[in-house]
Amino acid sequence: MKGILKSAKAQRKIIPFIILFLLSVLAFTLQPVVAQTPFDLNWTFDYSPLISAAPNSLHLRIHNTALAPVRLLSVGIRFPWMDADAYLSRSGPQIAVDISPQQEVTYTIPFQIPADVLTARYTMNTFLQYQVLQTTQYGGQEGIVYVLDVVVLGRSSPFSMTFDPYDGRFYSALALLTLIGWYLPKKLRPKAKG
Amino acid sequence: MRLKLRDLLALSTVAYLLSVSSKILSPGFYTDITALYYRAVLPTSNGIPYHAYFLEYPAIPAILIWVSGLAPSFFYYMVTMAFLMFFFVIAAVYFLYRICTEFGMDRGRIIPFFIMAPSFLVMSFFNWDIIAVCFVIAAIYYLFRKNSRLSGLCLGLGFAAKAYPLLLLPPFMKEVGSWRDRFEMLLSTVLGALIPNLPFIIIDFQAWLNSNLSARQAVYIEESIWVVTRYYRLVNQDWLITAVAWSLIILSILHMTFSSKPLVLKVWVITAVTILVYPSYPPQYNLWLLPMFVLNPIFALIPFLAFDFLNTSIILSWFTVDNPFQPWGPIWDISLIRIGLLALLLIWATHRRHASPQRSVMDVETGVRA
Repeated sequence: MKGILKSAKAQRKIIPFIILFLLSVLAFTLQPVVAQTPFDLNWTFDYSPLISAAPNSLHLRIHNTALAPVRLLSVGIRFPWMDADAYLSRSGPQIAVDISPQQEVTYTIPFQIPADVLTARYTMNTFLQYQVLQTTQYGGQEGIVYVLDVVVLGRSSPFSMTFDPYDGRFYSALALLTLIGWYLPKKLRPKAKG
Repeated sequence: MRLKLRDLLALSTVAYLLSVSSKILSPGFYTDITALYYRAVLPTSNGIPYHAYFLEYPAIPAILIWVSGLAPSFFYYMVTMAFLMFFFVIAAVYFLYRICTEFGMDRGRIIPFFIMAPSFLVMSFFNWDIIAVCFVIAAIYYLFRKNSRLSGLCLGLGFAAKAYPLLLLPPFMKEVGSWRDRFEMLLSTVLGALIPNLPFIIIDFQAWLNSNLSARQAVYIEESIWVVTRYYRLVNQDWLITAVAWSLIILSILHMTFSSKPLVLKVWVITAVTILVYPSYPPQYNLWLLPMFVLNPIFALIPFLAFDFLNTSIILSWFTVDNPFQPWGPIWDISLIRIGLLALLLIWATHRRHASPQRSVMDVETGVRA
C-alpha cells in the first residue's frame, strides 16, 4: 500500500477532516424519530428491539385529533408469524370507549414472541375500529391499520449444526484429513534438481 | 511532523463513539450486547453469568456484562459497557502504534486499515471481539520485545475473551528462542486464560463448565460457506463438516508454524483460514483481521476496502431487506462474495513470490522505516 498517508504532513493534515466527518455523521444519528399518523397514534414497547421468548408489551396512546367525538370499538395487533386471522386484542379501557376531541386513551397489549423467530426486521399491524359521531348519532364502523416496523432478536440463522464431542467419527476424520493435508502437498511438490 | 499517538487516539475515540452512539440512540440497531441485556441480565436481575443464566461468551465478556448490569437501566448498561470497552479500543490502537513505531512498520496504515475500516466504525461496539483483538495485538508487541511471559499472558487473556487467540500459540512459541521461554509462554498463557475464569469456577464450577462446553457444541451456521452446503443438503453429517473445518484450521496452524513467513503474516493466514472455514462467520469476526491488515504491507487498500465494506454491509442491510435468510437473496450474495474475496486474498498472500528475503520476528527489530 505504497503512497497512502506516506507523507508526514499529509498524515497530520487529514486528521481534523476525518474527525469533522465522523462528528457530522454522529450528529446526524442524533435526530429523533417521531411517528405520526392521522389518528395520532403513539406506541412504545417495554423494550425494543423485541427479544424472542421474552415477555414484552406494546403501549398505545391514541389521541383523537378530530373535531368530533370518536367511539373506539376495538384495538388489536398482529405479528407476521401468527396464524391467519389471529390477533392480540387490547387490554385497558372497556370496549366502545368514547374519546372526546383532543382527548386520549391508552392501551397495553402484552405479547411474547416465539423462541424460533429469526433475527430480522418484521412488519406488524396495529388496527383500530372506530365510529365518528355524526351530529346526534355515531356513523358507520371504520377501520385503520398501522404498519409498524419492528426488529426482532431471535435465532441468528435457520441453519444450525451440532457437534458431539464423544463422536469417534469426528476424531477419525480429523486425524485422517490432517495427515493427508500435511503430507500430500510435500509428495506433490516437484523435487529440486541437483 | 509525523503521525502522533495522540492523533490516533483522538481519531479512534471519535470512531468508537460513532459505533457506540449508533447502537444506543437507534433502538432498532441490533447488537449482541443489547440482546444479552434483554435475554439474560434483565430477566435474572443481573444474576451472576453462567450461574444464573447460560452464557455462550467467555469470562471477560461475562465480567463486563455483570459489571454493566449493575447500572439502573438499559441506557446506563450500554453506556457502562461502552465505557469499559473503550479501554480495550484505546489499548489496541496504542499497541498497534508501538509495534509500528518500534519495529519499522508504516503507522500510516493504522488509519485506513483499522480506525477508519468499515468494520471498526460499525462493529467495534457490537460484540466483545475488540477485547480479544486488543490482547492479540499486545501479545505480538511483547513477542517482538522478546518478552515471552507477557506475550503468553496476553494470548491467554485473549482466549478468555474469544477462543481464536489460542490458535496463535504454536507460531508464537516457534518464534521464541529457547524451550525454557516456550514453556514460560505456555504457562503464562494458561495463567492468563485462568485468571478471569477463576471467580466463575469458584462460584459454580458445573454451571461454568456446562456453559463453556455447550456453547461449542451447537453452532448456528451464519453467513459462512457451509450455509450453501446445508441448504442444498450436500453434506448433512455435522461431524464431517466439523472435522473438515478443524482439519483445515489445524493444517493452517501447522503450515504457518513451520513456515519462514513473517509472524504477522502467519497470524493473518491462521485467522483468515479460521474465519473462512468455521461454520459461523458473523460480520464482527472481521475485526480479528484488521490489525493484521495494518501490519502486513502486502495488502493493498482497495481490495481490503472492498472486502471489509461488503462485510459491514451485511449488518447494515440485514434489517432493511424483507428476508435476510432468503437463499440467494442479497445478504446471502454479499456474504458469499465477501468469502470469495477473502479466499482470493488468502491464496494471494500464501502463494505470492516475496520480493525480499523472509523476515522472522527477530529480525523485524532491525527493520528500517522506508
